[in-house]
Amino acid sequence: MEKIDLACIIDDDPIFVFGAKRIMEMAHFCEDFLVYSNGREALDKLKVMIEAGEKIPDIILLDINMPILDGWGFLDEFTQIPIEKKITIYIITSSIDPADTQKVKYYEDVSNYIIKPITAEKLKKILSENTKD
Amino acid sequence: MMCAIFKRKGRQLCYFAEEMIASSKQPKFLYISSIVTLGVGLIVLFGWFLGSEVITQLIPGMPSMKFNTALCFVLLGASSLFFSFPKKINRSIGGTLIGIGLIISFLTLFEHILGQNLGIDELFFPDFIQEDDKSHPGRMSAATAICFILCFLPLASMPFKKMKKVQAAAQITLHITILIASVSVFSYLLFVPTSARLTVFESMAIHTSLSFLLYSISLSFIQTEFGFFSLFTGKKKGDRLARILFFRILVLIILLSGIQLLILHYKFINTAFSIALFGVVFVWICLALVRSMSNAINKVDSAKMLVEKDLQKSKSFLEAIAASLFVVDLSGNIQDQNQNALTQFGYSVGELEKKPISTLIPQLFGIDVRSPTEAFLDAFKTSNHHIQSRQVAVRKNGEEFYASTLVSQAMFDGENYLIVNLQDLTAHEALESQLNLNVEKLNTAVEFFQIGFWEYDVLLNNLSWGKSMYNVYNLKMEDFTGDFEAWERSLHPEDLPIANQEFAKALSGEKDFNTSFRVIGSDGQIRHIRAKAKVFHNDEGKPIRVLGTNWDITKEKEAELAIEKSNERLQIFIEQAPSAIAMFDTQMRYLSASQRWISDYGLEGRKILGVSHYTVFPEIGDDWKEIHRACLAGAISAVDEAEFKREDGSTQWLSWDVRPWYTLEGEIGGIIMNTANITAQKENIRQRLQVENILDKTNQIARTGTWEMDLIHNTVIWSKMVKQIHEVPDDFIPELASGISFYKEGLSRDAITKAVTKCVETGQPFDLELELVTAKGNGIWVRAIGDSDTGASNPSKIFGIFQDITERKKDELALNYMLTISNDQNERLRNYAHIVSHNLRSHSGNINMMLELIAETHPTWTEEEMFQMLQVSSSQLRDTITHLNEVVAIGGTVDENLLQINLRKSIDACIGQISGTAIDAKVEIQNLVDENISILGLAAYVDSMLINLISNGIKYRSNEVKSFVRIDARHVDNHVEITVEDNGIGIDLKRHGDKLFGMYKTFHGNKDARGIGLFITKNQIEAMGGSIHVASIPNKGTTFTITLTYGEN
Repeated sequence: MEKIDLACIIDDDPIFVFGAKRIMEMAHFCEDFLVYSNGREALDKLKVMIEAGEKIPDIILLDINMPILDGWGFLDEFTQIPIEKKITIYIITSSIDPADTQKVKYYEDVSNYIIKPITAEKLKKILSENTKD
Repeated sequence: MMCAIFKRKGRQLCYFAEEMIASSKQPKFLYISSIVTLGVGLIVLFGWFLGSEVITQLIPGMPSMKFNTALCFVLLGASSLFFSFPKKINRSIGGTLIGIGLIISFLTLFEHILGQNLGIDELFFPDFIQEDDKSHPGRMSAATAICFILCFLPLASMPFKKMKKVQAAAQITLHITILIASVSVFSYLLFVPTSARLTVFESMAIHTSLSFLLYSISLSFIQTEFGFFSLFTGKKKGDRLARILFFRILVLIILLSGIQLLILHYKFINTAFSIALFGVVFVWICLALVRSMSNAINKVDSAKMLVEKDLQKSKSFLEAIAASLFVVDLSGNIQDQNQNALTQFGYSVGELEKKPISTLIPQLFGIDVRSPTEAFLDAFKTSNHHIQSRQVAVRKNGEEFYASTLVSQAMFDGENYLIVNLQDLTAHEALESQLNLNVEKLNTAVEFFQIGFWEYDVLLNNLSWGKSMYNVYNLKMEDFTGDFEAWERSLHPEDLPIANQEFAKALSGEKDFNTSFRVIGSDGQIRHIRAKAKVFHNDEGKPIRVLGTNWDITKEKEAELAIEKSNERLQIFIEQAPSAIAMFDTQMRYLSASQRWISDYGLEGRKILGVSHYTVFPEIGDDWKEIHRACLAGAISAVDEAEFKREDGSTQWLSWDVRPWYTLEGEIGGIIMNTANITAQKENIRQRLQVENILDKTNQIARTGTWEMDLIHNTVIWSKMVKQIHEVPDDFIPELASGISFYKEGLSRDAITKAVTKCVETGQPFDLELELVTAKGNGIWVRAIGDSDTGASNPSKIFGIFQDITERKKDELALNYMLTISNDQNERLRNYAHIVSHNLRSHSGNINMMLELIAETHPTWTEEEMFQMLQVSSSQLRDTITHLNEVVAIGGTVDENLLQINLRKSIDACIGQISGTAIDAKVEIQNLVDENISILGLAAYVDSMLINLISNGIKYRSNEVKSFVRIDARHVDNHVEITVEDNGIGIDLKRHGDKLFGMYKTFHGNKDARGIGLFITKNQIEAMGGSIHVASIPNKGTTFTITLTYGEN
């Protein structure tokens, strides 16, 4: 199984981030990680990286409920940035709010909407989806 | 034979003499004779000079021509010479000479009478001695003197030719002279000795006598009209015969006298006897001569009689002429006229003799001209020797009348005469004026009626047109070639064959020519022509001539066509008219009826044309009949509405208009009835009133009023209720401005102003709920609904409903308030729930994740009981949170998100999901739901509900029977009843009924029972607007019945 080169996790819950990273490592999900604690930070940093021409992540796991700039806000701005590379975005959230589940349909860039907790199974599934592409 | 020779010779001589005489002309004759006389005289004078006896005596022993005689002869000759050249000088000289001669003669005569010697006898020369001495020497014989006098006098009278009496006298004197001279000559011829003669003749010499004879004869010829010298000059038969006779008698006398003398001389016969013999012979010969004469005369006479007869015949023919005939000479005087002329002009015979014709016909030769002028006579040459004119003739009594005169020329006897033929035109005139009048009438008629006349000569194929024909055909005279083909060319090609046919039929005598056809004029316009003609045949019945008329009937034709068309149109119009119209004649029979009429009165399929109205509708009352009668007389009846009971008992309401219609001539041709069946309208009106009534009552109850605003007149009308709502008195007159002022200032007033303005401008309707302050100061809520009459811009009227909704509004506001609060609360709750659940989920999820990681990282810890319990707690925590989420998620009713879900498909999907479980459990799941049934619901909830119920059915199966779970559905009204039936262990409802749908209540030992499945299911169903019920018998089975809204296909 191939690995994804660079994955990005945007979530404000450190425990989840820790757990997610651990699971990904154990599953050999990807080579490297980028972690941002909220949308604003992620956006700013990623912008810089894109403009600098540095390596950008192949896959982003995005949380919705975050301070400063939540997942939707991030998405709104991120999708405006012209990027050559196809980045797969997954929304991983605890929210089962129908409003959110509905909203995700308006964002074509979002591949899937995954509800926490995340398991190794789910991660493997994501991986298989993305490496087959 | 001797007589014949004699006669011939005599005749010849006579003719010769005639010719001589005829060819003589007055002056010439005189001239010759005067020269002769003069010559003789001069010779004798010369003889006396010479003293010659021969000349003077001629025969010796005879008396000589005396000197005076010779002289007088000279004078005579000279004077007559002078006279023959008429000049004044000559005349005076001649006169003088005559005078001298006369003096001499008279003197001599006096000598003889007085017996005295005046000494003139031998004035110049002495006379010769004569035998006889009785005479006076040198003296003219008395006879000579007398003769001279008688010769001189006529000569002297020559200038006085005009006086007829003088001429007559002169002629007589000449005749006497001839007599005397001839006696003398005769006596010489008969050798009568001088002494035997009368003394008066004594000394008349032979040449004297001869000269006298000659001279007097010749002079006599000058005036042949007097005396008997016409005998020698006359050309008439009588004259001729006389001449012949005279010469014959002359010769006879001379012969007989000669014979007598001979006999006497030789004394053959006794003197007396010889005389007697002489006499008898003379008489006999004379008789013979006279006889021949009379024969000739008789011939002449009979010829004359014949001529006379002819003349008489001619004359009687002439007299028979109704006209007056005048013979007029070139001086313009009437020479002769016929009897008719006398009677016509009222003159008696002889009165017109020599009268000028201008007395009778004043202007025959011209105005104030009595005799024919050169111009007039010239006219003869140019006008074929006749001059015709119309003249005014005057009768003797002065009466004037019109006459037609024909003047012609005639020559007679060397003279030109004019023959005037006059016809009284009075009758003619009358006829003519009548004719003129008729012609005028005809022409007027022709012109007025545009009638053309034509004539066709069949044999020559010559068609001649009168002037009017060109007008009728509108052709130019130049374009018409005058043959039959020319006429054919002018006809309209379509009508030509028929016209030709008709003409051929007319010519053959089959029928009269009476037809009509179209012609194309030179302007291209088409005219309708009517043609009539009469064919004339000769004795064999062949047509030789056709006389015909054509006249223009274009206008009539067009009018006819127009009438036909208009009648057609009228019929069609009536039939097609959208209203019920029928047309009747004066007998009330149908002439035409519109479709509407037929359908309105239920007359479909019935024949009504020509049928009386009263036959079609026998139930028509007298009141109607009266109306019809009045309208047939000219009245108009128009009524807005009236009842009419039909035969079948039904009542109709009608409005009608009945009026007469007029023919072209202005007569009433019948009536037209225009009816409208207003029964339906009446019914509508009744219903409307009813509705209005109900509406009013309803409005009263609902406290709803109506208002209206007329934008043209700028008036506002409020119904009573509106006024009540506004709490204004009933007599309050509303206006737009005042009306708006009632509204509460602020939002309400702004809103209504805007809405009304918009409605007025664009016709947009409005429906607003606004606050209003009544006249009494009460604050109320009103609903103002407005609309325009046109629905588009610039309406003329806006109107609407006005409702007091205060109570409702209060309730509404309260309700809204409540709703708002509860919504807020719900919202809060939901938010809370979401937040809480989200965070709880995050944390519980994290715990789970960590535990998993630990299990992975430190597998040995999983054997630890406490670790295992920790894991269980964590998952239980997660489940609880999940359930909590589920419950919270249901929230309130979600009508707006309900979708149509096909029940059968959903059930099949659920069956698919749990098929594994079902097979393991050996439970048969039956889906008996009809595929056409749909429900309104949320897919998630429906699925969850179905799975829950089916799973329960599987879970709580009985092992003793063949287990099944049966799902069926029934469409009842607007709902679907779904039944999920199983034959499992059932539920004791008495004991557990109220706990069944509770939360966390389990009553089975079944480890799968979570306790909240039915709770959630119930909530979900109720969230979808449905309900759930259960029926169960322990150890038999359970049936859940779910009622949900039917989903329209």
